[in-house]
Amino acid sequence: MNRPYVIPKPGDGVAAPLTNDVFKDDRGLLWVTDKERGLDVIEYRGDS
Amino acid sequence: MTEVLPSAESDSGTAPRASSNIRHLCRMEIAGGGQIVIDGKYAYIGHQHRPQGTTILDISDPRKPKILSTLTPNHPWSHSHKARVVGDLMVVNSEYERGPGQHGEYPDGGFRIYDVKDRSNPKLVTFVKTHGKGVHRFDLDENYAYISTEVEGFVGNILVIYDIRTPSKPLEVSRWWMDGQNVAGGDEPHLRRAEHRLHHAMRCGSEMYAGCWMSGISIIDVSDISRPRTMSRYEYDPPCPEPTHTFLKVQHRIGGKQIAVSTEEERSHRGADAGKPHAPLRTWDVSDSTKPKLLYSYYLPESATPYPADKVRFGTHQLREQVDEDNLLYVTWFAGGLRIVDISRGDS
Repeated sequence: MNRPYVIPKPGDGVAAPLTNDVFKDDRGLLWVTDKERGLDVIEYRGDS
Repeated sequence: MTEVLPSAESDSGTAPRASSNIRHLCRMEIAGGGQIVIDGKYAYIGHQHRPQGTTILDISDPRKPKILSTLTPNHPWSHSHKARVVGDLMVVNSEYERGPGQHGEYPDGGFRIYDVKDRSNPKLVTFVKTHGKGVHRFDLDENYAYISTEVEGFVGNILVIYDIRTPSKPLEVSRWWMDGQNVAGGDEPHLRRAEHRLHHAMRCGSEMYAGCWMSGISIIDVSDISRPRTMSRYEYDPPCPEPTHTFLKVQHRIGGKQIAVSTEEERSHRGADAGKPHAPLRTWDVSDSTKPKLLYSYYLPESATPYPADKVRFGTHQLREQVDEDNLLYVTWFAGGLRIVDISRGDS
């Protein structure tokens, strides 16, 4: 099984990402915040 | 029971990486976010650090989110890193953030309610001052705000429920705390002092599920909102190294059982706990809410991140606060990124 994950890039000058919070919108897109810097928008396409 | 989730590829560097079933649509360089909530085509981000407070985005185009408005904290010692929305009302916290400033003289601890009918121009409705460091996380619905805050006479955050049906005049309805917190009321102070506190509680039906930091979890009956009642407490024995952050009940049954999930919060400075297991995701059988039973603890191996897991912050923090019928849970793991876990497959 391909266990889904994403590790966003860290904010500039930060040693590692600090993936902090996530919210799924009505379209199924994932909005992921980093504690120090950055917002990533992710689409999970399911197991295929 | 314990399950170890599989690793990431072993290459290193700072590029984003993901499993093949993930597509990365957009990266927005914006100040760090303590919380994000979305309602329709708007996203609301509570920023982790002052001087940023709240940003409201139009997310109609997910590849080009557009900033509609920003708010800054109202006091130089405050951060405002949590935001929730119900209809046209937005509630944000105000809490002392470590740095310059005297905790004991802090005047801005509490929460603010904004009218966000015009998302490009939020209007302050009211500020509710609480006490001490002020407000941390909270839950919110059309009727009530479930606030985790310091309160005079108590040690550590407790739950204070406010009726917000008249947003300009929130009314305190009730309080809930653990034994050992109500020092002014005669409790013997708990040995763990303020580490024995509520992190925050999430409502599900007539119950609230509470992450209680170094003191495990609680389930609280709020069927009478004016008298929250402890249904159960669970403390880890031996204590686990990281504090409990979120405890959430899953609305539907899975395999005939009522299930809950919890995360701990991997701390940035683990001190004497360095080398101990990193913060996991846990699942619970709460079919009997007076006797929660721990089912599985999901750990990620340090090899799951290309970053040096023993030197950076690597462990769980928060989860998506809803589990749909697909039983997928979305969990943030700091340097482990975002992990998607099918919680019905705990023993697979």
